Amino acid sequence: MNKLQTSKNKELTILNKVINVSSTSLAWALILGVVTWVIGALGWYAVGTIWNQHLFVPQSVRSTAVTVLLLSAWLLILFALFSAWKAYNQNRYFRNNKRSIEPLRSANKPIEWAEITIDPEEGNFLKSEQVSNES
Amino acid sequence: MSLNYWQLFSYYVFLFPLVMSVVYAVGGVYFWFRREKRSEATERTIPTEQWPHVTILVPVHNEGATIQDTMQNLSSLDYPDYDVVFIDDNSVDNSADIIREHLKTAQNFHLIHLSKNVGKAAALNNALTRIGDTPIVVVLDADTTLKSDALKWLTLPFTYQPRLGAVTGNPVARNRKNLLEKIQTAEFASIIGLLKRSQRVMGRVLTVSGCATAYRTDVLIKVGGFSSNSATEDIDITWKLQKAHYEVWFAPKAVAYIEVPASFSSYWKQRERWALGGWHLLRTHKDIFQRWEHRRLWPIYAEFFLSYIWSLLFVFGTATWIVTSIFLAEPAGLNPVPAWTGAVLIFACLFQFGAALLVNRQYDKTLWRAFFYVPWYPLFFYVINALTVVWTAPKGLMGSLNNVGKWQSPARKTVKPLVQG
Repeated sequence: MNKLQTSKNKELTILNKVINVSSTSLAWALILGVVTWVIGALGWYAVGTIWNQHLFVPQSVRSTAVTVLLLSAWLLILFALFSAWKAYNQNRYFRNNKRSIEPLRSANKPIEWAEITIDPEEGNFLKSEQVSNES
Repeated sequence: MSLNYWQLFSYYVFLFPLVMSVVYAVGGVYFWFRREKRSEATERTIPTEQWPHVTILVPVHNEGATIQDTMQNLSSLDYPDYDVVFIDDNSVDNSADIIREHLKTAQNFHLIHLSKNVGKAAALNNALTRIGDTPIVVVLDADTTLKSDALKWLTLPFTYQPRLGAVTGNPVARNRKNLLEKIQTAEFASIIGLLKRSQRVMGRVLTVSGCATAYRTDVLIKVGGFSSNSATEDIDITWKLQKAHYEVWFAPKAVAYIEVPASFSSYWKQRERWALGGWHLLRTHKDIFQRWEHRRLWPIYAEFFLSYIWSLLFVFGTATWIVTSIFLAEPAGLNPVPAWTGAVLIFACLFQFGAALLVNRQYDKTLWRAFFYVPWYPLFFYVINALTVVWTAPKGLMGSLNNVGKWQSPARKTVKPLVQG
């Protein structure tokens, strides 16, 4: 009887510990989640305040409108430039393809080892490279 | 009438990011419309036996926390013929033992153990001399996992375009629990995803993503392999390939899940290294202006140079304003408190992220959730990046370049892949 009770008590203690640890972890996860969310919300509040005080006020309407118009014009100019650049490259750069470059080789010698140890100072083909263009 | 220099600088600090955010957004959407949305119906495909053999190189240095997940991921890729070579750069943890366990069961897994720690670039160069004549190598970071079909998307362009030197993958943040990780998720989509797309529209890219990029092996060897004399070997190899007139493409469908820094200190360290790599780029590749044949690289170099000038002006202008506002009635410098210009820049950031959401949503279904944290991302992107540029300026401009690429892996957490298949 006593043995059974001791074993039951042990089980209860372990169960209590598990419940304590998991509920504490859950509580902390909730707290951190809420804090992170509040920081995110504060960011939007700050954006709203700055816009409300500086962007959406009568004295800023003209400069804001002019800026938006200029940015829209810049956007259209860029779009036109990118389209023209694409057409130029398609015609002059890729179709003419003046550079004679060898295609990708297909042969491959399989790697025959599973593990090797090497001395990096012997194997590195860059070891003799010097800093030539240091200012 | 005397010229007010601070007024001039403030125009530059306001206009440069505004103008460039439209360039990134328009370029990104243009690329997406032409190369991603419209090409879906006419997607190229090739028979199984015609896929070229690929060797994946994974440099490892004390990556015991993440290497198990990476190996599991690499053993189940949807690609007919590939080898994986882990290059243990003299790790002092159990990385090599974990890899050895897998060698017994995976026939296409191999391990190179380097007897000295030499850094990522030299480790990769050592491997290049030992992997036979494989036509394509894919360099993968030890904490990066690939979507199952990513290898096909990285390799496919090489089968029809011989001018290609490299194809870079699309890095997507895997860990998104804390605020910093959520902001970086937005940043990766909004900055890196759009930047690469818009640079491809212009014809040249600033850098491949070092975490997942495919290279033509013969071209890689021809340009001298990776350089240890740059803090960022990926930026340097991109410029070496393009200077040798090889194309570098961006494959957005080649999704690579990366682990972004989870703490501020590791985030700062990563950005510090990137900023230092930027200084090294400006130093070591300025010779492009001496040769007309490199003219297509001029706009990318100029834009990068102007972004560094922006960072210097922003930090020194703000510091001047803070100091003079304490001691003078009329402070000089650049006022960092957001007013009308700040309000417009925030609008531009949201517009840019909206464009990123449009072009990247098909590869990252939960990206929209990061939009909630976007108001904080200009603070990180502009302020932290500008500070790292200033912080690394003395070392970047005057420090020795010898073996500057040898660096320690950041602290890793064990994380489960976000999406597979």
